[in-house]
Formats: sequence, structure tokens, C-alpha cells
Amino acid sequence: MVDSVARRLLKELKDYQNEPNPDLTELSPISDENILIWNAVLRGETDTPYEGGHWSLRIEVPKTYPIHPPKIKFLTKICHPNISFKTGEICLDILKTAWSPAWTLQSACMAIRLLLSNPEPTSPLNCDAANLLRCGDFMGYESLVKMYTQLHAMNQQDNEESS
Amino acid sequence: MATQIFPLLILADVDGLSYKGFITVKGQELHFEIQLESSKSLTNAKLHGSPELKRLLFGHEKALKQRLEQCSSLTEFFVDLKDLLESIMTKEKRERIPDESYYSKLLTELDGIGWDKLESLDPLLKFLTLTLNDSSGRKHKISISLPFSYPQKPLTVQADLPSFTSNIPNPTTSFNEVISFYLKEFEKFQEIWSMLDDIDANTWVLEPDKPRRGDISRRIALGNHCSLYVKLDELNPKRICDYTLFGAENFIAPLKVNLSKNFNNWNLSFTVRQNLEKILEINFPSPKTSSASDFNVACGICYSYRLDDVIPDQTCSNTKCGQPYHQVCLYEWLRAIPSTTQIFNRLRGDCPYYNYTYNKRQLILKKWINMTIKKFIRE
Repeated sequence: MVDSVARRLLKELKDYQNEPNPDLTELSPISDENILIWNAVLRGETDTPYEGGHWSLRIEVPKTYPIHPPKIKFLTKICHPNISFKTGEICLDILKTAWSPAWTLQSACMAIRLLLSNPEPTSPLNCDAANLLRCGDFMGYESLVKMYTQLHAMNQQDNEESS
Repeated sequence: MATQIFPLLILADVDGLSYKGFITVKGQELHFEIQLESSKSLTNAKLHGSPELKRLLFGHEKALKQRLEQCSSLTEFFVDLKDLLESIMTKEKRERIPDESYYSKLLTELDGIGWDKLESLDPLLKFLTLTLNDSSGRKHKISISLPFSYPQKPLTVQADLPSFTSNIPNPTTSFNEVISFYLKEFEKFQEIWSMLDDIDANTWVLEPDKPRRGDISRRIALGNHCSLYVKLDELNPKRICDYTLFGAENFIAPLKVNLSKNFNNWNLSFTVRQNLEKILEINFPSPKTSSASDFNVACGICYSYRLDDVIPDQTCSNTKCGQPYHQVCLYEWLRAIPSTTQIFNRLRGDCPYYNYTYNKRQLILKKWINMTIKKFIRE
């Protein structure tokens, strides 16, 4: 089984390398020895408070992949209602119950990027951000997100320190 | 000290790091040298020896290395080495060498048929392959293994033929007889091979991967993840004796109708491929008009085409999807999701791709597709 996991992951890596994705500036295993742990870097979407930021993600692939979803978390601090500020844990259905082998590591990262601009304040991991949205203070929410983006995700050095 | 048990070994330098001399095994004296890296351990010691010693120890490097690591002193190692050599020699004794007539007969036979026909010969001269050309210029390989008491006992011959014959009916020791027998055999299959060559040249064959001359069945790609399996009739090469259509029901249903409607119009003046195209009322995608990647559609789960030599044979029943899967992969997936239901020996569940399509605003686009596969029971 592990062998077929490696084959699929290598194929995914090749597909990403053949067609680089400008919104996902990096996607590769962290070392040659272990193909089950990957690192990815997401670029914030333009016209959102995340614009200009770069976030590192750590991806842990289970041996039963793609039957079971990969574990993805943010290494760079991010302010978002569905992402834990402390641990970087992500609350997204496709990474849990709605997972299907049709998703790839790349498309899962893109779904996370999409989550940034489409928050679900009803199932929050970051209550402060979610509360701002729930009481309709979009200005406050945006400026809070902008601040954290500038603080943690703008500068490459900061990025590395926090990871 | 080592020299007391092995009087033919002497110390070769002042530090006591190298020994030279002979080791006596079963009355045979073998020249040998050992050079240590340090006086403390035997690990990484270098061994040199006569060609005979090298030959005996060939293939036993692992055992030697292990012994070097385990032995605490040189004396212990020499005793172990002697034991190892003794056991290798006893094993070797059992493998007798055929007598002189074996080799002289083999050489005369090869001279007789011409050395250009010889494709390969193993180092022990016990097994060889010949290449023969039939009347249409097709190349064929014949494997011959020589019995120990050749030429008293006949040859064992194998060739790649549609009807599997492992032995020539009349046992023979003559290479020439073997060749003339098979050249005659090859003529019997000229027609079936030209039919198969026509299929191979003008369609995408999914299975077998690399057809051999003995394979008389083909799985032909039809596009849309569908394929047609045909087996040619050995006795009547212009006809097929077995066929199966694979793929999503919506695609293959009209083909099935065409098959039953037109099957009586099978015309023996055409090739099997031409007949199939006429009867199915389609043109097979050919290497001239399409590329292999259009048909080698990988399994949607493991992303590979061949998994333990099995190709994806399950497809999603929705025509818009038609995604192929390996039975093993699909079984693993359907077993893992709670929405799968089992009715007798069938599993019914959602295609992994049914809710996949996502775009900028909408993460999940729901398409309700059910697919069924026969329950696959492992072992």
C-alpha cells in the first residue's frame, strides 16, 4: 500500500512541477527520505485582506492516502475564523468528512486558499475573528486580518522565524 | 596464534596486520592474503586470493562480511573461513559436469544450424535460445534446454505459439529437426498472426501490455474509458470466439445492440478488425489519429494505470464522469465511506469524483451519481 501511495504522490509532485501554480508558490516533500511530509506556501488572494501575504503549510500524508485525507496545518500565523491562531489547525470539511480521492494535495491547498476569502463563522476555531464577522463588523474584521497578515506573512524572514 | 593451527600462513608485516599464505581445504591449497585495518577489529579487513578462491567465494560476500564482523580473533576467522570453503566445495561436488560428448555434440549441432541463429547461451551451456524467421519474416524465439546426459536424452524445447506445446511430439536430439518442426508449426499460425498484427498496428491495445506471439486475445481501446476484449478463434482465425465490452453502460449499450444486429454480416474476406469496425459501426481509435495517453486513463484513486499488473476495469456509471478505477482501489474507498450500502455481494456507493468539481465561489458542486461494483473479497 505504501508503495502505491508513493507512486501517487510522485505523480502529484510531477504534475505540480510541470504546471507551476502562481497561487501556490511551493509544494514539495520536505526531504528526499520521507515523501509523506510536505511543505507548501500559499499566496493570499488579491482584493482580500490577505493580499500580499505568504503562508507556509505543513502537510502530513497518511499511509492510507488517498482513501484518507492529508493532515494540513498552517505554520505561519494567520487570522481567520476557521483556523486556530495558536496551532494553525484548519476546520474545513474536505479535510475531514467530505474528503474524496478526487482531491489532490494541490487542490486541497487551493481549497484552503478559497476558505480564506469564504470564512464560515458558524464553526469557528478563532472566536475573536468569528465574533467580529457574526456581529457584522466587516471593517474591524478586515483591519484585524490585514494587521496579522502584515505582522506575520508579509516578510519572508518573519515567515521563517515563525515556522 | 593463527600460525600454529594454519602452518602455511605467515605474518607479513611487523604490526601483525597482514597474513599471507595458503589455506588447506579438502586437500586443496588455496593462496590467500588478509590485510586488517586495525589490530582491534576484523571489520573492513581486505581479502585477496587465488582465482580459485575467488571463484569459490563468489556470491558469498555477505556471509564473509558477517563472519569478519562477528569473529573476535584472526584464528577464529580462519577456522570459520575454512568451514565456509568446505561447505561451498561439498555443495559444488554435487554439480557434476557433463562428459565430453555433451559439448562436442552441442558444438556440431550449432555448426550445423549456423551460429547466426543463436540468440543467447547461458554460461553453463545448459540453456540456449534460437531466433527463427518464418515465411512472412516474423521473428520467433525458441528456448532449448539440454539435459545432463545429452545426447543420450532428448532436448526440451519451448516456443511461443498460440496453442501451447511444450514438447515436440517426437523427442529429438537434433537442432535441425527442432528447427524444421517449428518452421512447419509457424506456418499454421500465419493467418491468425496477420489478423493480430492488423489489430496491433491499427488500434490501441490495452491488454496484453506487450503481446507475445502466443497471445490470441486483445483488449482494444474504444475511447470514453470503454474497451472491447476479443479472443480470436484458433481454428478459424478470421473469426472471434469470445468478446466482452467494458465501460459505462450508456456507451456500450448501443454497441451491444449493433453487435447482435450485425453479427451475421461477418465477412470472411475482411480482416477481424475491419469486420469488428463494420459490425460495431465505429472506427477504432488508431495510433495514427490519437495518442496513447488518451486511453491509458489511470485509476482515479491510485493514479497509476497498472497496479500489480491489473488495469482499471470499474467505471463510474455516469456518462459525464466515466472515471475508471481499479477494483481493489474502489473497494478500499467504498469500504472507507459510511454512505456505502451493500446488497448481497454488491457494494453501492458514491463515485469519489461526484462532488469534486470546485470553482471560485462554490466549493462543492453536488452531482448525485451512484456506482456499483461487485464486492471484492480479498484472499
